[in-house]
Amino acid sequence: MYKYIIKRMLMMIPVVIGVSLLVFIVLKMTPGDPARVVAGAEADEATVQEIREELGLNKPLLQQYVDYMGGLLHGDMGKSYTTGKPVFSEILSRMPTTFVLAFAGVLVAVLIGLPLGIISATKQYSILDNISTLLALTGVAMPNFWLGLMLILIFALKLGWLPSGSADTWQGYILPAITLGVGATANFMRTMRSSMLDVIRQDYIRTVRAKGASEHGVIMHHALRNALIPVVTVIGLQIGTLLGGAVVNETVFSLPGIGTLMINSIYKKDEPVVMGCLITFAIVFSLVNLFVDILYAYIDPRIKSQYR
Amino acid sequence: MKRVLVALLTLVMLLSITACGSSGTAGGSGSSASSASNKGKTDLVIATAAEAVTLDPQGGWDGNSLYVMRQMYNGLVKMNSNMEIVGDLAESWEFTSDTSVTFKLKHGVLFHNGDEMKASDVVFSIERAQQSPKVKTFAANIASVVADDDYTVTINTTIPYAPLMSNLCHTACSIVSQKAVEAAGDNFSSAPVGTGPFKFEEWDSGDKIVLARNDNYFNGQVLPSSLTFKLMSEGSARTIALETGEVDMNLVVSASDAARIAKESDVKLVTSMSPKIEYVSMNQKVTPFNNQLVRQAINYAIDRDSLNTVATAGYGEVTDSVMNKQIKGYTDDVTHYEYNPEKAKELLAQAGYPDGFDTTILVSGDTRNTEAQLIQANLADVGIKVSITSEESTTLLDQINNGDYDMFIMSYNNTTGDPDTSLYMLFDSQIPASSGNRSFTNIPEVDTMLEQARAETDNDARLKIYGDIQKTLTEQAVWVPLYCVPNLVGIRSDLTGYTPHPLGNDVFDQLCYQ
Repeated sequence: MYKYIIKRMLMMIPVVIGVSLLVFIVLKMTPGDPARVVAGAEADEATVQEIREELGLNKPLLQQYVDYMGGLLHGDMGKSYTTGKPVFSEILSRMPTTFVLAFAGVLVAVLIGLPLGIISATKQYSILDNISTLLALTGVAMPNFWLGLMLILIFALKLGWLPSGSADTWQGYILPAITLGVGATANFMRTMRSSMLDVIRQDYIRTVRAKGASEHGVIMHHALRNALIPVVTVIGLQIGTLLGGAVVNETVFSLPGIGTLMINSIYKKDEPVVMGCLITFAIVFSLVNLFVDILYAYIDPRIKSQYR
Repeated sequence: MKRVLVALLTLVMLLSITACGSSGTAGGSGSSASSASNKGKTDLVIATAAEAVTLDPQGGWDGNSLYVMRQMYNGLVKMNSNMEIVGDLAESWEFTSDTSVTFKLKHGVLFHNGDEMKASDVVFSIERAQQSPKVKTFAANIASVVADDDYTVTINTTIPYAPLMSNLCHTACSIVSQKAVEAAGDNFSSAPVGTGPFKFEEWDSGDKIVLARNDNYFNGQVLPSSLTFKLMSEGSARTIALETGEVDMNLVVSASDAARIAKESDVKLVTSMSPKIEYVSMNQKVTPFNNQLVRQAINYAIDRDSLNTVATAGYGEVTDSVMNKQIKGYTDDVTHYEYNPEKAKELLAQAGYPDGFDTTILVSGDTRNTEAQLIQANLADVGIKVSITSEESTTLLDQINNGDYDMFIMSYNNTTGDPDTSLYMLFDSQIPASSGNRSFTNIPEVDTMLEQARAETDNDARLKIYGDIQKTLTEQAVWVPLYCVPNLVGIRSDLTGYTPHPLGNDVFDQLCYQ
């Protein structure tokens, strides 16, 4: 098991190199001169040239990349073109906001999606099933930013119960987490439902029932754990999506996360920050996937035996 | 499993109930709580749409940074709300020759670190501005800065240079503490030290910048105990936060929210004009825009009043001159191109285009895209078929600087308030497109007048030359000036002490709840 984890960790190195190379090439291929952005539209050409030199943008591309990767090996992600602050500390200071938001979103989705999925599967085609399906579809169809604004309007402006967005208090995360979670709820619910439907038609469930176990016992003790595997996969993938989806939410709720940092840096062509954010996302995504794989082992001992 | 779920759900519900309870009483975030009374509240929160880039005055001058820096620094001189240059850190000054001015400094002005501001700091700061590629344009043509004694500084220019005093008013020429800069090295932006009414407290990147009252401020009592510049990039979020009282001021009200704020009783809308002008530029290097008649025809064909209504909800102001009306020397005594499609058709026929022609317009961003659509419809009425190309802003600049365009929409922000800033860089034929002359204007008469005005030391004579320049440029129809861009600021109704500065150089030291 440990060998497997170490092997997976080592595999992240080529992932980071691949991502950084790809992002670097794409950034360099997109038109627009970062030095011009830093200098401002009103600056003269000589100034832009001076800034270009200051930022090292006059060096050959290959050297720029090698320099960057050399720095990255030492944990140095370079400095922001616009603010001159170290990218690493900038990302580090925003990480908690984004992670708390993404995980709170997943928590909301799990708390609503999984019970609804289980109910839908066990009471297939009942009114309850139809209502939860309808709710789930509504949730997934609602644009994230719209729902966010509606929640702000109702709970912050009309009722005055919650702040409209603030990273200073934990209450500030409630509305963003609900907004983020609602979209993922549908996904979890549908996966839980179909997976559960699969499992409860298996022979061993019929055997359990034949032995006279209660319906509650059948579902909770025998079916659920087996039905969870595909759900865990979806949750893992969804965490990645939510990290990215947090961008919209961070903007609507004015939360200082990595998403807004990345978007603003893309507008400003602040290449080191964009690179830093994407590499961070790549690493986090890999780690979450690894964590999900390890989780499989705990849910299903058969998988554990394969990890050698 | 079910029991665990029930327990978890109960916990969440309990937590949210307590959350609602506490925010209503202590947080003051509820609308009911905010409307009670803010009297006595001195820790003020100001919502901004974008984050400052730097707090080092010699490190940059984008609008978002300027807003915060103006609270923390002073220059030798400043532009007052009547656009007159008055002393700030300088008590008095005297021109000893066409190229030399001597400043007497105020005594006993303390930096935020407790040190006294001396002539050596002034020399250090101006030289620092000269060396910084990002702001050196505001320290242009300075030959030397000399400390005659601890409280006297002489600035010598390479040529008689009239814009000098306006440039010295710019935040880029703010006086910083030499000792603090040398101690901070590259990190001065994170540990800035000035002489202004507020001192730096903390910068929570991507979230907020907090400033605290400077109790030793040399220029009177500062009322707010702290200012927090809170980043809220979403327009409606800023409006709602103002309405709930989470913020006391919203520096950037979206045009679509303006009417709503204006009619609410707890908040009010303060409108003023910014020093920014929105315009359509035409590439005078290419046909048919090298023809003055065509450019005039386009000026007649565009319904600028409707465009202003759509783009700024009517808060902007249509202008005939190529210069914003806030800028010194502005004149409206220029050719007036009213909306007149018939006249436009006549001029086009005279120019040899009775059936119009095909062309393109380059834009970036949603508002400009809307503007382009209106222009497209206007020009279609006179036979000119326009196709709109929407680009991301850096790409747009690249194309324009290479002269690879027919028309584009952009705005120009004059942060010094001096007409030279508006006209020299934009219309002198020697200036390359990448530095400002993006319309490729080449009028020898204008070039001569621009040089004359730079060297003219008599203010009235100087402003008259700028009036003539505006006349010529407008007659030549080098642009289609669209409108002066408005500043829409929302504040809580009971917050007093905010008067918008014509150049946007607002200082918030007198903000106070009644």
